[in-house]
Amino acid sequence: MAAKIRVVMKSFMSQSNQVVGLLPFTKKVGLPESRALYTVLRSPHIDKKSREQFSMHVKKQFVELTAKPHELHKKFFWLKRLRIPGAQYEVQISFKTRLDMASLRSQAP
Amino acid sequence: MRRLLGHLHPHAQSLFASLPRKPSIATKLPFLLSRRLLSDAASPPAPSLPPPPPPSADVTNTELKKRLETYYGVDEEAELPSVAKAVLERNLTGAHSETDDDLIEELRSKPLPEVHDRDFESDFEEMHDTDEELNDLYNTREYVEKKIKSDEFFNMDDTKWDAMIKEATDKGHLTNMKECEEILEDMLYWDKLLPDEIKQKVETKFNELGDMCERGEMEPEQAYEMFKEFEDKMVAECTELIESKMPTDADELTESGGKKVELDDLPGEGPVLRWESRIVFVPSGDAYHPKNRKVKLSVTVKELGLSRHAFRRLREVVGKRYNSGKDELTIISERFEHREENRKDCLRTLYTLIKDAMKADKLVEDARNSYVKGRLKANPQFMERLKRKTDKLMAAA
Repeated sequence: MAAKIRVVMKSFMSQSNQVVGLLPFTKKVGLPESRALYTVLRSPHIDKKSREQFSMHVKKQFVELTAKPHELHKKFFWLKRLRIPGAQYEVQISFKTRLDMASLRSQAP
Repeated sequence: MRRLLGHLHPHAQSLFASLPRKPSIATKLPFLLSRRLLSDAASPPAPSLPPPPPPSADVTNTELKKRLETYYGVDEEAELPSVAKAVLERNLTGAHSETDDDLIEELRSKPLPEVHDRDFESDFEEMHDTDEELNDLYNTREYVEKKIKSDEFFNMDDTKWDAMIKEATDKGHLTNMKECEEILEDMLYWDKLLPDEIKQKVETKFNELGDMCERGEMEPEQAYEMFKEFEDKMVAECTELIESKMPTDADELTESGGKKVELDDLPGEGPVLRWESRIVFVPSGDAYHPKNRKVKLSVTVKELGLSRHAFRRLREVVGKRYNSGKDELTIISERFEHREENRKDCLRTLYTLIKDAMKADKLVEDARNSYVKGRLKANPQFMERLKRKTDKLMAAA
């Protein structure tokens, strides 16, 4: 494939419903949910046994789009407009080009 | 009498030093002296007041106020120089230093006549635009969602895009897109429009004409006309070439069929560069993320067409960046602030590496030659034989 777009979405709410509206030729992979647990004391002075637990759940969704090099700009624009408030998109773009070897050899002494 | 003279002497000096030299002083001085002499006879001497300055240089309060009112009345600042001149003259004379403070307070307490509160308020409202007040802060997420969805280009999908394109086409904004794309592609690859043969012919002709002009055999205007004719011939030849190429392309298409549909086939020749870049959209707003600047470039070393020595030199230079299992060289750059600058840096680095590797052949040849020379110099028999041969040649000459 000449070009590929990989998107990793992270958010505190499930994004599986939002992926349906994505572009065609899209693969979806659900990544494991990561949790961060915090235990803090309730009282500022004594009462050590009285505590409170908090947890932060981060849900991830991996999406892969196939594209051609001339379509990258258009699909990137769509992804930029498709952003959902509260979700982080990490877009990884892979594409290929050709190296002009003739000019390099002509420049070589 | 001595006391009287002592009193008069310093006063006379001070008067001469302070007052400007004018012909009117001569007429006033004897009168002053005579008055002092007369008063001295009748009563003890009193301190004399300085003479009043000429009235033409003084500006009265009434006139100053009149000028100020004129300045306020006129919209432009045409009357400002007269007001400034009046203030300067009053300061220079120094006669109104006591009344100026009262005048300043009086003017300060009076409001300015040309200020409108409504204009000020409207300007403030235009300059600073605040959001509407939210009654219920608990539903800020819904408020933000509604605000974002009101954007026309938000959540673009196929139906919306098709509707926009259809509307643009109906209104006549998008016409002849195919032709436009072709023109843009030609502009992008402008250096590949003409075949190499045509380019070389034009270049040789241009150089030939240039040389003739430099030697003085031909006038520049005449050379230009000849070049123009040559260009017309080249254009005709190029069109003939294109027309001749078209049927062959059609034949190829009919013969090959579906073989040309290879998605991985890139246009042009040369090694394949695999680019990889990362863009992070932060949950809120368009904040900058450090991952946005990183660029990765991979290339297969075999495709570079390097010789054995060049390959070894390249491998030594790049170190861990070369993966022998995949025969892959990876260059990563995150030096500059912008991603495109880092892409240029990666390409520049690759070019530099290839050029440096290509030097290995020459270095190896030089090293081998120097080694052989050293070995020969160290051999006494060879040196003796060389010396004899040299002497023989010298004797023959």
